Amino acid sequence: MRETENSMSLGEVMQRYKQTVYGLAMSQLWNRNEVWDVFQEVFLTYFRKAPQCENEQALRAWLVRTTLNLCRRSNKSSWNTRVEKQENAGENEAVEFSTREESEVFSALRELKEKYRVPVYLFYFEEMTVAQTAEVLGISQAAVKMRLSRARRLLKKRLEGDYFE
Amino acid sequence: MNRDIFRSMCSQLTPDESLLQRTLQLAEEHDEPKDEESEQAVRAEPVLKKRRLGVAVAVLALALGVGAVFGITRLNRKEAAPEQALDKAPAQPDDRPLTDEGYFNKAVDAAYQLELGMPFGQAVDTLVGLGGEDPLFADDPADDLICDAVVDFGKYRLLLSEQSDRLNTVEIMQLPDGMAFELIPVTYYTARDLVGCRETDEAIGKWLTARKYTTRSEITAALGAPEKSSGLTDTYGWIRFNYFEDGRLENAEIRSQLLGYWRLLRDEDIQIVDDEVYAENDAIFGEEKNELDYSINSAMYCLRFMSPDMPAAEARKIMAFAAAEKPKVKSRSGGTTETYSLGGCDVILGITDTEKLWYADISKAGSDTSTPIMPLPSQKELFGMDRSDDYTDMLGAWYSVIDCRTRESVRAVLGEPQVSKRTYDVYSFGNEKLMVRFAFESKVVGFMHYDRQLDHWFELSKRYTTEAPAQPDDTEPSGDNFPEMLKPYVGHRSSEYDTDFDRMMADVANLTAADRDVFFDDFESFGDPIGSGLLISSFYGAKNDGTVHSQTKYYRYGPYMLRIWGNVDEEPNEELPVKYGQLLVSVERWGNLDTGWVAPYVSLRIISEDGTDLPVESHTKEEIDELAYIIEDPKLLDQVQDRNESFGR
Repeated sequence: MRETENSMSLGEVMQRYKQTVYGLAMSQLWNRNEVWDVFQEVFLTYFRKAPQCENEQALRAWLVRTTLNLCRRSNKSSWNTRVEKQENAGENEAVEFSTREESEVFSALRELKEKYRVPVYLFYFEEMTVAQTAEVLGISQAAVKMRLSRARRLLKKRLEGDYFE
Repeated sequence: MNRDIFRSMCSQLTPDESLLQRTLQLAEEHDEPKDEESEQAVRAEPVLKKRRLGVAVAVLALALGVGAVFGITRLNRKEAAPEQALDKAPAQPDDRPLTDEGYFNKAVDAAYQLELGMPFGQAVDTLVGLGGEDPLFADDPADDLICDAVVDFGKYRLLLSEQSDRLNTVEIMQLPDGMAFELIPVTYYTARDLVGCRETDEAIGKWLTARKYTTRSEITAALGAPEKSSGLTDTYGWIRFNYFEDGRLENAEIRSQLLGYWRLLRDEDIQIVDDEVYAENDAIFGEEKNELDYSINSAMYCLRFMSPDMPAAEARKIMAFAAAEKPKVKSRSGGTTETYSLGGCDVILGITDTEKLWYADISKAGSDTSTPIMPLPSQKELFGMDRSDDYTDMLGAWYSVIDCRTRESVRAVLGEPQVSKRTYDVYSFGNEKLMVRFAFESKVVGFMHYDRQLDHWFELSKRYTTEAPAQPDDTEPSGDNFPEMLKPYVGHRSSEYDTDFDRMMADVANLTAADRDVFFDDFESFGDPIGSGLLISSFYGAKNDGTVHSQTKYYRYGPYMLRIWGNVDEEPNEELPVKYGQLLVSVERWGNLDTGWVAPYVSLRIISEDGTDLPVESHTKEEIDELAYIIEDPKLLDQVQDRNESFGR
């Protein structure tokens, strides 16, 4: 097995960031199979390209960006944009949470536009700081704050709760 | 503030261990030698192994990429037989009947073994060999098929159509009465892959030089130092040569423009011919391609990209890819003629004193008599060359049916043909012949002319005509509401420009309200080509109930992909970029097909229902160039998408 510059094997990287990649893909895609595809492809891309990352933060940023790009590719693929899915496609619905409250929160999150959804996910679920989120997304901190602010407003309206503050 | 709920949710967003194992397994499968033989090969040729590994991983990545694009992966199949996919032990035969999903996967996987342009019979056989049921052919009168052959996989049906006995389209539908969806986008891997792509043209040019040699030292001497040299591989732009350790050339690979990966160079790349057309020739006469055919095809390929008045330098560049030697140049009144030898035939370019292309002819090698190819109709006026009355009659007949769309309408004008087959009719005019070619037995797809001198069928194309310059009409765009960057192109023809970008912009600037009407009223016949762009893809977007909501045509200008998208959905939908009856002209760029259809776009024009232009914000060429998306250096697409939104998307 090939080693990275940081001497982390693919297995180690997967163990450490599986939740980040998987959860992020879950928030972007609607079908479990597509999530699995993206999950595999992210790590195979990592394995194939062995990106030179100075530290773990940079590695996490690389994985997040790659995951987002692959999710977009999947969402905008010829298959997803031009083929009407069968009704039973819902059988592969991506995720089920243990409580109804959690399901509603996640459902509300996924109904946001991507430009709001991603910062929210990174900030609240991944517990990244505004600065880290800005760096990963390649936008300014002000833009992150603005998107978070708008997203919070939208979520609050929908959930009528104070999960996102 | 309730962070606990997110932590709780995060803990549930964890993949199964089996997914991790499978991912590791996939990586291992492509990292480790599979057997003793390959281990020996690795020991013997370590560098070669590395390269092959790279290719294998690239193929894996491509396969996964394609899988992701179409939502099909090994894992999807695994759901049908999980224990088989996860178990590292040798797979046991699985006799269980396939689920619908299994059949679907099987059908799609089988389809991806096909390649557009491959022999049609071979395509059908391939599908049957991969588990498809016995095929049905359109020739069978018992079946009323809307395509040329179908192969069923359970309740899923692959519909194949052919053109000149080559695979042309592959679609999938669900039985019994589902809609058919294009399964394999119109991507051509051979000659069409080259069209408009400078890098690939240059790569082919290098190969035409290098193919005379067999060793690394000879090729290096001919081509100069490689841009990149690693182990046994030398790379020159989009072509790379792989050598054995003793320096002999093993093979050459070319980078696929559309697919973005390296593949072995094939004969088709070199022949650079429109096989569909010339296969017809073989079918009629049973002729094997000989040297003359080969060189005529090469010449015709070159001439496809020429047009009267184009810059001479551009025409020379095109010829340089096909001709091994420099041209013979002769002075003549008003300019020069340049004769390029292509082996069995010569191409003669007439160049004016102002360095514009005047005409292009083909002649048999060494023959004094050339066959005028471009421009055809005004040959007599321009060059004083007199063709026979038969020839004039043939051309006249062609003009009289040039806008006919069906076999019936052609016959209504020309009467019964002398020869009639399923895919063509032939009309004789003395010693001249006109062939009308059909698809699906009736739809006119082209015209050909038989040249007795060269004993060859040539395609008759509007491209080679020299119609009088179009008169400005009432619908000519005024340029009002154009983005600033488009205004300089108003009133200029694309042939006046040297770059793909400029040609594209000129074509866009010259789209008229009348073009918009044709797009909506007669979509099939809308611009192929428009201006200098090459039609890459043309399709309808359909909703679940079968109604059409949009029409799209893609044209390629080198690395730029021009999209013309019309909304034909009468139901209001604010999510769509333009309203009903409006035409959106935008440019997008595929970094490579690895990115699938992920292509942010920049609007260039929006033509409203009444033919007037709606305001579109301006932007720069540099911004359009930034649309390129390179997976090796992930950049967030929404950075360009955000900008697109501000451009009026």
